[in-house]
Amino acid sequence: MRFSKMHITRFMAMTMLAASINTAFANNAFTTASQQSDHHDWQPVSAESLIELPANLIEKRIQQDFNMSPMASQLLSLEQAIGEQSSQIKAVQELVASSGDNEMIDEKVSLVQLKSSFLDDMQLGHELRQDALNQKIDVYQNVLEKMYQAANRQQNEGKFILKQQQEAARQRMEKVMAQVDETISAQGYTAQSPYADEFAKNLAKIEQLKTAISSHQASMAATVDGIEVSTEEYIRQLLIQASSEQSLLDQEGLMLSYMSKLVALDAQSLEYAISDQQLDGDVLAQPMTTPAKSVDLFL
Amino acid sequence: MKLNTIKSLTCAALCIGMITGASAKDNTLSLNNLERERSALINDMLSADLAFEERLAKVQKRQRHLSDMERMVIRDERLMASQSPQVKRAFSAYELTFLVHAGAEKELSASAQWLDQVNFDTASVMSASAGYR
Repeated sequence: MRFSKMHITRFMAMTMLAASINTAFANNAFTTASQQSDHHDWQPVSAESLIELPANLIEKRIQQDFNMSPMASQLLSLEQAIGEQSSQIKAVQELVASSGDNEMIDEKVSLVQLKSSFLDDMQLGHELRQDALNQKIDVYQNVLEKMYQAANRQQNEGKFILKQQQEAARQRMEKVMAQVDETISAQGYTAQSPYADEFAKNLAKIEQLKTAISSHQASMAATVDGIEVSTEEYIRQLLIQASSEQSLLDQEGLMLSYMSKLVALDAQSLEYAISDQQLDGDVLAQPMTTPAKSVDLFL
Repeated sequence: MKLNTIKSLTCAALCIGMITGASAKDNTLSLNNLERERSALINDMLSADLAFEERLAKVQKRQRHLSDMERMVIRDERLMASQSPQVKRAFSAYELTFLVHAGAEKELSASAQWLDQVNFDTASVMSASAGYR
């Protein structure tokens, strides 16, 4: 099999490309939250609007917002492209599986090109996911910060103190209500006052309404492992979850860097194979003129 | 289209909730009523024009009104929106504001509770002498 200089140039370019992928991955395999990429196609919903929502809806709202973003569409189309490339790679791999080192070189070139393109898309997808996760973490942290601020502000406000006093007064009153009613009844006022009568009737209805509200799907309290938790606790859990996702993404980055290293090595070995073959071919095509072969000229 | 309709309905429902909670103009009406009734109780209690039986009947009637009013005030969420010092004072001085219920804790009537709070007991009345200051 003969190879032109164009082939070699292509291989050299591929080797450089694979090596550059390798370097890029090695550099950002452990890059974390501070990483800034060029994909800013998702502007997450503001923390102000999120703190008004029930805890269990915050995560859904962020995910919904992300799903509607151009970044999510880009990730989706990347995923499709990656799936197609993956099938193509498998097909070519099966084709060249039983070939020798110097056979089916064109197919092997295609395979390395496919792998390189596959890794390009994987890297882009990885960057997008990392970027989306970083933005999500920022939003969760903002929500938590604003909740703390709101709680501190509320505790310092007179309204909060008044509310606490009202609650304390209510508890004290409820403890002696029966006793007060008995005393009043003993004084001859056996029938309840219209207010007390109506209040008791309404109270039963209110309890029914409250039960309906608390069991309503839209106002269900957030749960972690089946246990009801506060909004703050829920957000803290989301941050822990995000942190574990980040750690897994770092690991995936490392895997991609090793994959690109393998592609670079494949490209390099192909380059050597082609150059060797071409060198052998050239030697065979132009045999050297030896003195023994030239003896005839002098006889 | 459907989503917009649902959003409008949610807004409308929430608006109804807000209107229900904020329809009253005077946030301190319940507390003012309680203050007036309490004042009337003290007035009846100290009135020199009433006979004993008459005073007792009036005071007991006032206590019954007061027990309802105290409950109304304690349950009144409108008061929480008020910035009035009157509201703050009322809740920080439970023993003096809610005479019937605070008195019941010590098994005292509303009038006895008031006298107790202003440090005015039988001994001080008995030791008092009539005269010009």
